Amino acid sequence: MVMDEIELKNLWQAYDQKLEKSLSLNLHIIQELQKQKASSALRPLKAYNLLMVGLGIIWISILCFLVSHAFTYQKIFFAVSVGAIILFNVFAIIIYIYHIVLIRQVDNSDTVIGAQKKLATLQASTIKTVRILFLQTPFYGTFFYSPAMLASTGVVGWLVIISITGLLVGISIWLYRNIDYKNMHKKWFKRLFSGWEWNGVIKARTFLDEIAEFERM
Amino acid sequence: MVSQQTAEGFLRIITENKGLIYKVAHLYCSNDEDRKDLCQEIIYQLWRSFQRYDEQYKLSTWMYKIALNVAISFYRKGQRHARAQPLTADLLQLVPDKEPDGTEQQIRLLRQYINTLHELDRALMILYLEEKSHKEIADILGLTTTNVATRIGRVKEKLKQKFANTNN
Repeated sequence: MVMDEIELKNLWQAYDQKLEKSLSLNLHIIQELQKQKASSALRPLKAYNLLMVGLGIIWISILCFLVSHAFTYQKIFFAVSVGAIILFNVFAIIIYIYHIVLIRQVDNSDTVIGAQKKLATLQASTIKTVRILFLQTPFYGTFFYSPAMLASTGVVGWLVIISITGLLVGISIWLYRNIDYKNMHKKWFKRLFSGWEWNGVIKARTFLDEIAEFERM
Repeated sequence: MVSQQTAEGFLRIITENKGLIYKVAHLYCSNDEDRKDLCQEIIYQLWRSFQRYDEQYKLSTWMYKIALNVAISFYRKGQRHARAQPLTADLLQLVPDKEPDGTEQQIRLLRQYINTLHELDRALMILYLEEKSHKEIADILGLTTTNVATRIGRVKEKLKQKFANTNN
Protein backbone atom coordinates (compact mmCIF):
# COMPACT_ATOMS: atom_id res chain seq x y z
CA MET A 1 0.00 0.00 0.00
CA VAL A 2 1.28 3.46 -0.83
CA MET A 3 0.40 6.08 1.74
CA ASP A 4 -0.54 9.37 0.18
CA GLU A 5 -0.33 12.75 1.83
CA ILE A 6 -3.97 12.79 2.95
CA GLU A 7 -3.73 9.33 4.45
CA LEU A 8 -0.65 10.31 6.44
CA LYS A 9 -2.46 13.34 7.81
CA ASN A 10 -5.64 11.36 8.51
CA LEU A 11 -3.63 8.83 10.43
CA TRP A 12 -2.04 11.58 12.48
CA GLN A 13 -5.45 13.09 13.14
CA ALA A 14 -6.73 9.72 14.34
CA TYR A 15 -3.74 9.60 16.70
CA ASP A 16 -4.60 13.10 17.90
CA GLN A 17 -8.22 12.15 18.60
CA LYS A 18 -7.14 9.03 20.45
CA LEU A 19 -4.84 11.12 22.66
CA GLU A 20 -7.55 13.68 23.24
CA LYS A 21 -9.85 10.91 24.43
CA SER A 22 -7.51 8.82 26.54
CA LEU A 23 -4.63 11.02 27.70
CA SER A 24 -4.82 12.22 31.26
CA LEU A 25 -2.65 14.85 32.86
CA ASN A 26 -1.50 14.74 36.46
CA LEU A 27 -2.03 18.36 37.49
CA HIS A 28 -0.58 17.73 40.93
CA ILE A 29 2.84 16.96 39.37
CA ILE A 30 2.75 20.15 37.33
CA GLN A 31 2.03 22.11 40.51
CA GLU A 32 5.04 20.40 42.09
CA LEU A 33 7.20 21.30 39.07
CA GLN A 34 6.11 24.93 39.37
CA LYS A 35 7.50 25.02 42.89
CA GLN A 36 10.91 23.60 41.95
CA LYS A 37 13.97 25.81 42.02
CA ALA A 38 15.50 26.81 38.70
CA SER A 39 17.77 24.16 37.24
CA SER A 40 19.07 23.64 33.76
CA ALA A 41 20.22 20.72 31.62
CA LEU A 42 23.25 22.88 30.84
CA ARG A 43 24.31 22.97 34.47
CA PRO A 44 27.05 20.30 34.09
CA LEU A 45 28.56 22.19 31.15
CA LYS A 46 28.42 25.46 33.07
CA ALA A 47 29.93 23.78 36.14
CA TYR A 48 32.75 22.37 33.99
CA ASN A 49 33.55 25.82 32.58
CA LEU A 50 33.39 27.42 36.02
CA LEU A 51 35.73 24.73 37.37
CA MET A 52 38.20 25.38 34.55
CA VAL A 53 38.09 29.14 35.27
CA GLY A 54 38.72 28.46 38.97
CA LEU A 55 41.59 26.04 38.33
CA GLY A 56 43.02 28.40 35.71
CA ILE A 57 43.03 31.33 38.13
CA ILE A 58 44.77 29.24 40.81
CA TRP A 59 47.36 28.01 38.28
CA ILE A 60 48.01 31.54 36.96
CA SER A 61 48.31 32.91 40.51
CA ILE A 62 50.97 30.30 41.32
CA LEU A 63 52.84 31.07 38.08
CA CYS A 64 52.64 34.86 38.71
CA PHE A 65 54.01 34.34 42.20
CA LEU A 66 56.93 32.32 40.80
CA VAL A 67 57.66 34.85 38.04
CA SER A 68 57.57 37.78 40.49
CA HIS A 69 60.54 36.16 42.26
CA ALA A 70 62.46 35.52 39.05
CA PHE A 71 63.30 38.98 37.73
CA THR A 72 67.05 38.38 37.59
CA TYR A 73 69.38 37.88 34.65
CA GLN A 74 70.12 34.28 35.69
CA LYS A 75 66.41 33.43 35.71
CA ILE A 76 65.58 35.15 32.44
CA PHE A 77 64.57 31.87 30.68
CA PHE A 78 62.31 30.95 33.58
CA ALA A 79 60.64 34.38 33.58
CA VAL A 80 60.08 34.46 29.81
CA SER A 81 58.85 30.82 29.60
CA VAL A 82 56.47 31.11 32.54
CA GLY A 83 55.33 34.52 31.24
CA ALA A 84 54.37 32.90 27.93
CA ILE A 85 52.59 30.04 29.73
CA ILE A 86 50.65 32.62 31.77
CA LEU A 87 49.51 34.36 28.56
CA PHE A 88 48.24 31.10 27.06
CA ASN A 89 46.35 30.31 30.28
CA VAL A 90 44.83 33.80 30.46
CA PHE A 91 43.60 33.22 26.91
CA ALA A 92 42.05 29.89 27.96
CA ILE A 93 40.29 31.51 30.93
CA ILE A 94 38.83 34.18 28.65
CA ILE A 95 37.43 31.44 26.38
CA TYR A 96 35.92 29.55 29.35
CA ILE A 97 34.30 32.80 30.58
CA TYR A 98 32.98 33.38 27.06
CA HIS A 99 31.46 29.87 27.17
CA ILE A 100 29.69 30.69 30.43
CA VAL A 101 28.24 33.84 28.83
CA LEU A 102 27.08 31.74 25.83
CA ILE A 103 25.46 29.17 28.13
CA ARG A 104 23.48 31.96 29.77
CA GLN A 105 22.30 33.07 26.33
CA VAL A 106 20.98 29.66 25.26
CA ASP A 107 17.21 30.00 25.14
CA ASN A 108 14.84 27.14 24.43
CA SER A 109 12.27 29.57 23.03
CA ASP A 110 14.72 30.44 20.25
CA THR A 111 14.17 28.74 16.86
CA VAL A 112 15.12 25.05 16.87
CA ILE A 113 18.04 25.59 14.49
CA GLY A 114 19.16 28.73 16.38
CA ALA A 115 19.16 27.11 19.84
CA GLN A 116 20.65 23.79 18.70
CA LYS A 117 23.38 25.56 16.72
CA LYS A 118 24.33 27.62 19.77
CA LEU A 119 24.48 24.52 21.96
CA ALA A 120 26.52 22.51 19.49
CA THR A 121 28.89 25.43 18.78
CA LEU A 122 29.42 25.83 22.49
CA GLN A 123 30.41 22.19 22.90
CA ALA A 124 32.45 21.99 19.73
CA SER A 125 34.48 25.16 20.41
CA THR A 126 36.30 23.48 23.32
CA ILE A 127 38.64 21.91 20.80
CA LYS A 128 39.79 25.31 19.54
CA THR A 129 40.95 26.21 23.06
CA VAL A 130 42.86 22.96 23.36
CA ARG A 131 44.74 23.31 20.08
CA ILE A 132 45.91 26.80 21.05
CA LEU A 133 46.92 25.58 24.52
CA PHE A 134 49.16 22.96 22.88
CA LEU A 135 51.29 25.83 21.55
CA GLN A 136 52.54 26.50 25.09
CA THR A 137 54.25 23.07 25.26
CA PRO A 138 57.76 24.22 24.14
CA PHE A 139 57.89 26.73 27.03
CA TYR A 140 57.66 23.82 29.49
CA GLY A 141 60.98 22.66 28.00
CA THR A 142 62.82 25.98 28.30
CA PHE A 143 61.97 27.35 31.74
CA PHE A 144 64.87 25.59 33.51
CA TYR A 145 67.61 27.00 31.28
CA SER A 146 69.89 29.75 32.57
CA PRO A 147 72.57 31.89 30.90
CA ALA A 148 75.21 30.26 33.13
CA MET A 149 74.06 26.77 32.14
CA LEU A 150 74.10 27.60 28.43
CA ALA A 151 77.56 29.24 28.69
CA SER A 152 79.03 26.08 30.16
CA THR A 153 77.30 23.70 27.76
CA GLY A 154 79.38 21.88 25.20
CA VAL A 155 78.51 20.95 21.60
CA VAL A 156 76.68 17.76 22.64
CA GLY A 157 74.71 19.68 25.25
CA TRP A 158 73.67 22.27 22.65
CA LEU A 159 72.65 19.52 20.26
CA VAL A 160 70.45 17.98 22.98
CA ILE A 161 68.91 21.37 23.88
CA ILE A 162 68.23 22.28 20.24
CA SER A 163 66.83 18.80 19.49
CA ILE A 164 64.45 18.75 22.48
CA THR A 165 63.26 22.32 21.98
CA GLY A 166 62.95 21.81 18.23
CA LEU A 167 61.00 18.59 18.79
CA LEU A 168 58.60 20.28 21.23
CA VAL A 169 58.10 23.23 18.87
CA GLY A 170 57.52 20.82 15.96
CA ILE A 171 55.03 18.68 17.90
CA SER A 172 53.08 21.64 19.22
CA ILE A 173 52.82 23.28 15.78
CA TRP A 174 51.86 19.94 14.21
CA LEU A 175 49.16 19.42 16.85
CA TYR A 176 47.92 23.00 16.41
CA ARG A 177 47.56 22.44 12.67
CA ASN A 178 46.14 18.92 12.85
CA ILE A 179 43.74 19.05 15.78
CA ASP A 180 40.83 19.56 13.50
CA TYR A 181 37.49 17.83 12.94
CA LYS A 182 38.62 16.57 9.57
CA ASN A 183 41.03 14.31 11.49
CA MET A 184 38.58 13.10 14.11
CA HIS A 185 38.31 9.62 12.57
CA LYS A 186 42.10 9.08 12.82
CA LYS A 187 43.56 6.79 15.48
CA TRP A 188 45.89 9.35 17.09
CA PHE A 189 43.02 11.83 17.38
CA LYS A 190 40.74 9.28 19.02
CA ARG A 191 43.50 8.25 21.43
CA LEU A 192 44.31 11.86 22.33
CA PHE A 193 40.68 12.84 22.75
CA SER A 194 38.96 9.91 24.38
CA GLY A 195 36.72 10.57 27.35
CA TRP A 196 33.26 11.81 28.12
CA GLU A 197 33.87 15.42 27.31
CA TRP A 198 35.49 14.75 23.96
CA ASN A 199 32.88 12.33 22.76
CA GLY A 200 30.34 15.10 23.34
CA VAL A 201 32.55 17.58 21.48
CA ILE A 202 32.91 15.31 18.47
CA LYS A 203 29.18 14.56 18.40
CA ALA A 204 28.48 18.30 18.60
CA ARG A 205 30.73 18.94 15.61
CA THR A 206 28.98 16.23 13.60
CA PHE A 207 25.62 17.74 14.57
CA LEU A 208 26.78 21.18 13.35
CA ASP A 209 27.55 19.62 9.95
CA GLU A 210 24.10 18.01 9.95
CA ILE A 211 22.47 21.35 10.80
CA ALA A 212 24.35 22.99 7.91
CA GLU A 213 23.14 20.20 5.62
CA PHE A 214 19.59 20.68 6.93
CA GLU A 215 19.72 24.40 6.21
CA ARG A 216 20.88 23.73 2.66
CA MET A 217 18.15 22.70 0.29
CA MET B 1 6.84 35.68 43.23
CA VAL B 2 4.58 34.05 40.66
CA SER B 3 0.94 35.05 40.89
CA GLN B 4 -1.86 32.51 41.32
CA GLN B 5 -3.32 33.74 38.04
CA THR B 6 -0.06 33.02 36.12
CA ALA B 7 0.18 29.54 37.64
CA GLU B 8 -3.44 28.76 36.80
CA GLY B 9 -3.07 30.18 33.29
CA PHE B 10 -0.12 27.87 32.76
CA LEU B 11 -2.06 24.82 33.98
CA ARG B 12 -4.85 25.64 31.55
CA ILE B 13 -2.43 25.93 28.61
CA ILE B 14 -0.74 22.64 29.46
CA THR B 15 -4.11 20.90 29.85
CA GLU B 16 -5.21 22.18 26.45
CA ASN B 17 -1.94 21.13 24.80
CA LYS B 18 -1.10 17.92 26.63
CA GLY B 19 -1.22 15.98 23.35
CA LEU B 20 1.55 18.16 21.88
CA ILE B 21 3.89 17.34 24.78
CA TYR B 22 3.05 13.64 24.64
CA LYS B 23 3.61 13.41 20.88
CA VAL B 24 6.94 15.25 20.91
CA ALA B 25 8.21 13.19 23.87
CA HIS B 26 7.12 9.95 22.19
CA LEU B 27 8.89 10.75 18.95
CA TYR B 28 12.21 11.54 20.62
CA CYS B 29 12.25 8.95 23.36
CA SER B 30 11.32 5.30 23.12
CA ASN B 31 12.19 4.32 26.68
CA ASP B 32 9.31 4.69 29.17
CA GLU B 33 11.40 5.92 32.09
CA ASP B 34 13.32 8.42 29.96
CA ARG B 35 10.09 9.63 28.43
CA LYS B 36 8.69 10.38 31.86
CA ASP B 37 11.78 12.54 32.50
CA LEU B 38 11.47 14.20 29.10
CA CYS B 39 7.79 15.11 29.66
CA GLN B 40 8.72 16.65 33.01
CA GLU B 41 11.63 18.53 31.48
CA ILE B 42 9.49 19.93 28.66
CA ILE B 43 6.77 21.12 31.06
CA TYR B 44 9.37 22.51 33.46
CA GLN B 45 11.11 24.47 30.68
CA LEU B 46 7.73 25.70 29.41
CA TRP B 47 6.95 26.91 32.91
CA ARG B 48 10.29 28.72 33.23
CA SER B 49 9.78 30.38 29.87
CA PHE B 50 6.06 31.09 30.40
CA GLN B 51 6.84 33.89 32.82
CA ARG B 52 8.64 35.69 29.95
CA TYR B 53 6.18 34.68 27.23
CA ASP B 54 5.41 37.52 24.85
CA GLU B 55 1.75 37.31 23.80
CA GLN B 56 2.42 38.90 20.42
CA TYR B 57 3.83 35.50 19.37
CA LYS B 58 1.56 32.57 18.60
CA LEU B 59 1.21 30.25 21.59
CA SER B 60 1.68 27.08 19.53
CA THR B 61 4.88 28.48 17.95
CA TRP B 62 6.31 29.20 21.40
CA MET B 63 5.29 25.78 22.74
CA TYR B 64 6.70 23.84 19.80
CA LYS B 65 10.00 25.73 19.92
CA ILE B 66 10.52 24.83 23.57
CA ALA B 67 9.20 21.26 23.36
CA LEU B 68 11.31 20.46 20.29
CA ASN B 69 14.45 22.15 21.61
CA VAL B 70 14.21 20.30 24.93
CA ALA B 71 13.45 16.99 23.20
CA ILE B 72 16.30 17.31 20.68
CA SER B 73 18.80 18.28 23.40
CA PHE B 74 17.57 15.37 25.54
CA TYR B 75 17.84 12.97 22.60
CA ARG B 76 21.33 14.18 21.68
CA LYS B 77 22.54 13.76 25.23
CA GLY B 78 21.53 10.11 24.93
CA GLN B 79 21.07 9.76 28.65
CA ARG B 80 18.67 10.67 31.36
CA HIS B 81 18.82 14.16 32.73
CA ALA B 82 17.70 13.54 36.26
CA ARG B 83 16.01 16.59 37.65
CA ALA B 84 17.32 17.99 40.90
CA GLN B 85 14.05 16.95 42.52
CA PRO B 86 12.81 14.05 40.41
CA LEU B 87 9.10 13.31 40.48
CA THR B 88 8.32 9.64 40.25
CA ALA B 89 4.66 9.63 39.24
CA ASP B 90 3.53 9.76 35.60
CA LEU B 91 2.79 13.23 34.36
CA LEU B 92 0.88 12.06 31.30
CA GLN B 93 -0.95 8.77 31.27
CA LEU B 94 -2.52 7.11 28.29
CA VAL B 95 -5.36 4.68 28.85
CA PRO B 96 -4.73 1.84 26.37
CA ASP B 97 -7.49 0.87 23.95
CA LYS B 98 -9.38 -2.27 24.95
CA GLU B 99 -9.53 -3.50 21.39
CA PRO B 100 -6.75 -2.07 19.23
CA ASP B 101 -7.89 -1.85 15.60
CA GLY B 102 -6.07 -1.56 12.27
CA THR B 103 -5.70 2.21 12.66
CA GLU B 104 -3.89 1.66 15.93
CA GLN B 105 -1.38 -0.55 14.12
CA GLN B 106 -0.90 2.04 11.36
CA ILE B 107 -0.38 4.83 13.91
CA ARG B 108 2.27 2.70 15.62
CA LEU B 109 4.00 2.14 12.28
CA LEU B 110 3.89 5.85 11.43
CA ARG B 111 5.41 6.73 14.82
CA GLN B 112 8.02 4.03 14.36
CA TYR B 113 8.99 5.37 10.94
CA ILE B 114 9.18 8.97 12.13
CA ASN B 115 11.40 7.71 14.94
CA THR B 116 13.95 6.52 12.40
CA LEU B 117 14.31 9.98 10.84
CA HIS B 118 17.10 12.40 11.72
CA GLU B 119 16.15 14.49 14.77
CA LEU B 120 15.68 17.68 12.71
CA ASP B 121 13.60 15.92 10.04
CA ARG B 122 11.53 14.44 12.85
CA ALA B 123 10.72 17.97 14.09
CA LEU B 124 9.79 18.99 10.56
CA MET B 125 7.52 15.97 10.13
CA ILE B 126 5.68 16.51 13.42
CA LEU B 127 4.94 20.10 12.44
CA TYR B 128 3.85 19.06 8.96
CA LEU B 129 1.48 16.38 10.30
CA GLU B 130 0.13 18.87 12.82
CA GLU B 131 -0.93 20.89 9.75
CA LYS B 132 1.17 23.90 10.59
CA SER B 133 1.64 26.34 7.70
CA HIS B 134 5.02 26.49 5.98
CA LYS B 135 5.43 29.97 7.47
CA GLU B 136 4.87 28.72 11.04
CA ILE B 137 7.15 25.71 10.50
CA ALA B 138 9.82 28.08 9.19
CA ASP B 139 9.36 30.32 12.28
CA ILE B 140 9.65 27.38 14.66
CA LEU B 141 12.63 25.74 13.00
CA GLY B 142 14.47 28.83 11.79
CA LEU B 143 14.44 27.90 8.09
CA THR B 144 13.16 29.67 5.00
CA THR B 145 9.68 28.72 3.76
CA THR B 146 11.18 27.48 0.47
CA ASN B 147 13.52 25.20 2.38
CA VAL B 148 10.62 23.93 4.49
CA ALA B 149 8.62 23.05 1.38
CA THR B 150 11.53 21.22 -0.25
CA ARG B 151 12.47 19.26 2.86
CA ILE B 152 8.87 18.27 3.62
CA GLY B 153 8.60 16.82 0.12
CA ARG B 154 11.74 14.72 0.66
CA VAL B 155 10.80 13.46 4.13
CA LYS B 156 7.26 12.62 2.99
CA GLU B 157 8.73 10.53 0.19
CA LYS B 158 10.88 8.65 2.71
CA LEU B 159 7.83 7.89 4.86
CA LYS B 160 5.69 6.79 1.93
CA GLN B 161 8.53 4.53 0.81
CA LYS B 162 8.74 2.95 4.25
CA PHE B 163 5.01 2.24 4.25
CA ALA B 164 5.24 0.82 0.74
CA ASN B 165 8.14 -1.47 1.75
CA THR B 166 6.19 -2.73 4.77
CA ASN B 167 3.28 -3.76 2.66
CA ASN B 168 5.38 -5.44 -0.05
